[in-house]
Amino acid sequence: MKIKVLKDVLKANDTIADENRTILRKKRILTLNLMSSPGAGKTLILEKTVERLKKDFRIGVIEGDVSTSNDAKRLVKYDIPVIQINTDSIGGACHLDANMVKEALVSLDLSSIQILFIENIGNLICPAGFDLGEDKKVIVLSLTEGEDKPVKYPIAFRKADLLLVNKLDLLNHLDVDIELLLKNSRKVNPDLKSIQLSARTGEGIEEWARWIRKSLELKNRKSRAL
Amino acid sequence: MHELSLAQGIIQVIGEELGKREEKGTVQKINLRIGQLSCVEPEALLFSFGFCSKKTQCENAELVIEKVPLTCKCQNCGKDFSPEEAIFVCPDCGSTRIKILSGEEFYIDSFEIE
Repeated sequence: MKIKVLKDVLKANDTIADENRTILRKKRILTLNLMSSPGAGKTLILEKTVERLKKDFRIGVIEGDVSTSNDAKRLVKYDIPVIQINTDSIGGACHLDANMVKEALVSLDLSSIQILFIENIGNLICPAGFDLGEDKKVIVLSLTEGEDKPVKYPIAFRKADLLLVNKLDLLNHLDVDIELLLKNSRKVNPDLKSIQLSARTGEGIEEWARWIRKSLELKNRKSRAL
Repeated sequence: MHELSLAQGIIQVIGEELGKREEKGTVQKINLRIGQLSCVEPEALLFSFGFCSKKTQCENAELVIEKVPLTCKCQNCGKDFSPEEAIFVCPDCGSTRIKILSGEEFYIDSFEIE
């Protein structure tokens, strides 16, 4: 006997992601999902961003890694709430999913947060397939990775709202063509905005901070209108 | 990829479906529809399912995978097409403003019990 199911296996994740989004909207928290390959500089960008925005906003971070709490340790020194998710206890998952974030949200005092950063597992493939309930997906690509990454891993770039091109301080030491990199990213996602920065020197961090401020403002304006 | 967690997801969904139905029996076959863009490797999924399904209601069930091709709609001129490359460009007007219609899904279409 044949039984029709017609159930999307990934739908379960989307349902939980929507619940997360509702919770975060009620608390008026801007949530940004940071994705990149390992070593692109997500954590250092976060450190510099927290330094820059901490005096004006209450910030929280959810750190995703397969193993260790090295990244979380780098952020707790800023005296902000940081939750570490390690996926090695759950099969070493290559991405964060909505349920992991839901559980992390329970451990955070949400009324004391305005901006929540979720640092996804370093991986350019799997994280793109899982909605976490975030407002925006931000993809970080460092110059050392080469200009063809957007066309090699189009799914992640297609879903992103913002591209941060990191390690700008290395530009003169590399053969990378930054214009070609941006052109490749627009081939995949014509609306993708980009900001060039160096987390190491701090160049471009202010522009990124402005983008965050503006996104928070827009979100608050929208939720007031609702 | 994360075929292991997808295999567990399939077993969980089938378990839930069986739980709310009167029909009982052993699961013989599970029919899946997997989009070309879902990044699922059928080989890895079959392998993961093989050991995840041990001692579950899905043990010994056959996974039948139907691939769903990628289809897109151009947001500029409205043309429906199936891109052959990972970069989506409308074959008519050349626009890259493209909406994906199908090819991202990972569905359990149906299962068969005996």
